[in-house]
Amino acid sequence: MTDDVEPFYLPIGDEIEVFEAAYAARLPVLLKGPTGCGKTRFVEHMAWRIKRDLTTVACHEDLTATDLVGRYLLSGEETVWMDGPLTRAVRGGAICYLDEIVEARKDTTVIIHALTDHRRVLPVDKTAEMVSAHPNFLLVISYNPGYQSVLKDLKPSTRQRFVSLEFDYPSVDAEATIVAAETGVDADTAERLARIGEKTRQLRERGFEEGVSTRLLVYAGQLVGQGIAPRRACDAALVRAVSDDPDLQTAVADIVDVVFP
Amino acid sequence: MSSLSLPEVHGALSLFAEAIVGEPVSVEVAENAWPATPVANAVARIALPAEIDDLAPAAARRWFRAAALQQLVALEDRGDAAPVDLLALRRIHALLPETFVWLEDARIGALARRRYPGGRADLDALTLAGAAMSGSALGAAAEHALIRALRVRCLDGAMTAVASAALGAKLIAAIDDAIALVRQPGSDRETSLAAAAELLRSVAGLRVRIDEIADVDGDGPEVDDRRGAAMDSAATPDEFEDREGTSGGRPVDQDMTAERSTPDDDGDDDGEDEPLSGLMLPVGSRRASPDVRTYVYDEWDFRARSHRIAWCRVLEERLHGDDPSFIGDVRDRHRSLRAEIRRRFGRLRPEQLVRIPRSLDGEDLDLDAAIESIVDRRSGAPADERHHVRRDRAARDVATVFLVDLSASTSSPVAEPEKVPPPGIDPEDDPISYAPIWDPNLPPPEPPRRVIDVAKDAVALMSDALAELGDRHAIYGFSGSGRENVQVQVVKELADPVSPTTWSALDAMRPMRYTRMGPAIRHATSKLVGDAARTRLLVVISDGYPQDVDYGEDARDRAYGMNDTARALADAEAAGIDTFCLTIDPAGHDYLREMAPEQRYLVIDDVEALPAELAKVYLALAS
Repeated sequence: MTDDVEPFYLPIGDEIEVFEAAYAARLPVLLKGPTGCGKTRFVEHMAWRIKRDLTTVACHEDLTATDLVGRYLLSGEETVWMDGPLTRAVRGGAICYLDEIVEARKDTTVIIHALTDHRRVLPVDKTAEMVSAHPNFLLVISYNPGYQSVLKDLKPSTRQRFVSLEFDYPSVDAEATIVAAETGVDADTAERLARIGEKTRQLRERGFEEGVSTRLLVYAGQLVGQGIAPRRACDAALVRAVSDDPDLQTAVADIVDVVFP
Repeated sequence: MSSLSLPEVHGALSLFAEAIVGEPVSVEVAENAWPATPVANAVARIALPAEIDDLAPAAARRWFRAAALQQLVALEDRGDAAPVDLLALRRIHALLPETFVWLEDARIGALARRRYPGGRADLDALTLAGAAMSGSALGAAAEHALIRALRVRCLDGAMTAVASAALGAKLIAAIDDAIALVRQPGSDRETSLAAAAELLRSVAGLRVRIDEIADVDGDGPEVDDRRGAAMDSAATPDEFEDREGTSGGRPVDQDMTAERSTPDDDGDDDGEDEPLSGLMLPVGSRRASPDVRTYVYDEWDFRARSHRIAWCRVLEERLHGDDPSFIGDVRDRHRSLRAEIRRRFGRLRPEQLVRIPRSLDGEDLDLDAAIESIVDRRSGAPADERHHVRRDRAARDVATVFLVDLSASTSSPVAEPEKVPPPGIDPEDDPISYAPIWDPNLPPPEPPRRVIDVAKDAVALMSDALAELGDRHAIYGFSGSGRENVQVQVVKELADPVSPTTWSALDAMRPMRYTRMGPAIRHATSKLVGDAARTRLLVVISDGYPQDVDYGEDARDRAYGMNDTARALADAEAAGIDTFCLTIDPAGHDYLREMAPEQRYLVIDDVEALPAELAKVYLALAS
């Protein structure tokens, strides 16, 4: 749901303008990018900016179409229909953000098809209903092409229904600004954290596809802000989190060690 | 106090290096002990000592890391710029390459300290050690007085009073100015070059003779004292020549000196320099593993129609390598095939959904449970809340062992397709156009690809794809000689995740001895039998007949080995394991017909087709 406080977001390119244009035309939006690079924050920021409610669904591999659309529940001695989060957003005119859509079961991608073209309807087969989308409704999905297994690739027929915005980790300077803004650590610490992020991402081909995300850097910064020494904070937030491979952990620990004075 | 060798830290250091530089960095054993800044390396490469002695492991590790860091910062700083052509510098002035290299070293040292302050203390300790090192270890038996002074100042060593007096305050000041200049933030390679040129100009202005001085003595602060004391007291500060150690004052050839004392120039300056005391010979890529496990298996004697009990001994050991970049090469080499495999594997249907009734949560109401619940409630009994049906997908449940033949014959080269000249041109007419081109700047030709290289590529591609698919798999290599010595090398066990360790171990697979297939298959079978997966596969990749020195009464007797192998395969099938034999045989011998059912083997005559065929086989077996 929208908040009065502006969610911090540092634009890297023209993504805000493109999103606003897409919203104006009610075109569904696909956000593509590695984990923890700011996709969810971007949607929160945009919902705040265009003053719409936001319904976020974090998709997981057991998430079914029923979970999104709704189901009958037994209440007392009768069955009661309960709208799912997607149906509520469609009826109420919110922005519905399906985070990591390919994680969910395949039947979920089918039900969003009718919502993403000119029809803008949500078929609810269990109630034999075609729910027309509220004029303010917008569907946003995100997808991380990096670590998804081949079984979980987004089908072209789904992908081609969306306006695509590509995200990547920001530059060192931008990331330092983000870390400083999110955590309140001094500029020097933020810059060092950003540098660690940049360096570890150069190991993407070496066992961890993603590297250290901006989110993890923010975690480390928050620990530092709470008074934990920078090396210890990075050890807890970054080194242990990125990989289980001992060599990779050692290498990341070495990077942390040489970057902090 | 103990020692730490480079292979022990190689894996993590390589990753550290790649993270700093942004591309794979080859971490090699130093030929020159002093870790000078690589200014002239065409490839991303750093050199480290083979071993650090007399330090606690943690301290020795930091030493390795500091030595690496200095060189890595040089590579990081270089970016995409071409390496410096030291020979071209030497054509300008005989001392320019060395002066430049040492000033670069000072600049990079300062840059490294600024950029990676956490490494500062280690770098300082390293510099101190460098200053204290003997002259011979620094790779310069003959060295010009200017370079010597420059080195001492670059390593923050103090000039002794006598040496300072000999060189002259102006020259010392010029050296210090140059070093201070390159150490400033914002200085770059051009700054070092300009400072070097400027320094040499000031030397010329001071009329120091550009003579090369052969000096067999060591160097360092104390040694410098002796040198200074031994200097010809009659020599004027600006016109001195160090005669110590020179017989008859014969000047050393300038060119040779400049080239020899340029660290990391081209790597061929070894042989004359004494290695740092305590260094070991360069260590190979494979470490002998102390934990060899022994297993004993029966063997089938088809003539006696009985098993020979406990006939073969399998020695199993972990394979370790140190080059995880192998997988990057494989991915590059088979870009299109990899995409194809990924696409095909994407179609592997996950196994079917199973309906789970009486769940707390689910897509549909479970009518039976719902009715019971209502009945319960009406009768006053506590109602069960679990009245939904959910559909869960069973996870893919496949375990595969890839058993790779490492016999000596796998070292035979793969026939390369003949190069066809453009149509209309007779290559006989034009020997220059079609003869191999010799160019000193071209990298040396790649060694010919061998059968084992293709097999390794195939297994690596499979492992890479299976890791994405989530199918568990193990990779073993096998060879040996004699029934007492069947070697099984473990690259990856079923439970191991696919990691850089897997790639470096796979890269370390080498052709060994013979092909005693039976015990190896039995060993792999025993591993799979102990696994709970619903689908269990054993894929054998070999390049010829089963063969060993004592595989049968007569070494030429193929029937014994083939029958034993067939029996081992049949036993595996009986244990519920699906087997498949893939054999690379350019002659296309169909002897597998006698060992395996028709749908359970494939003979490939084109070796390079192996990766694609292996993927097809897996798809057929596991779907």
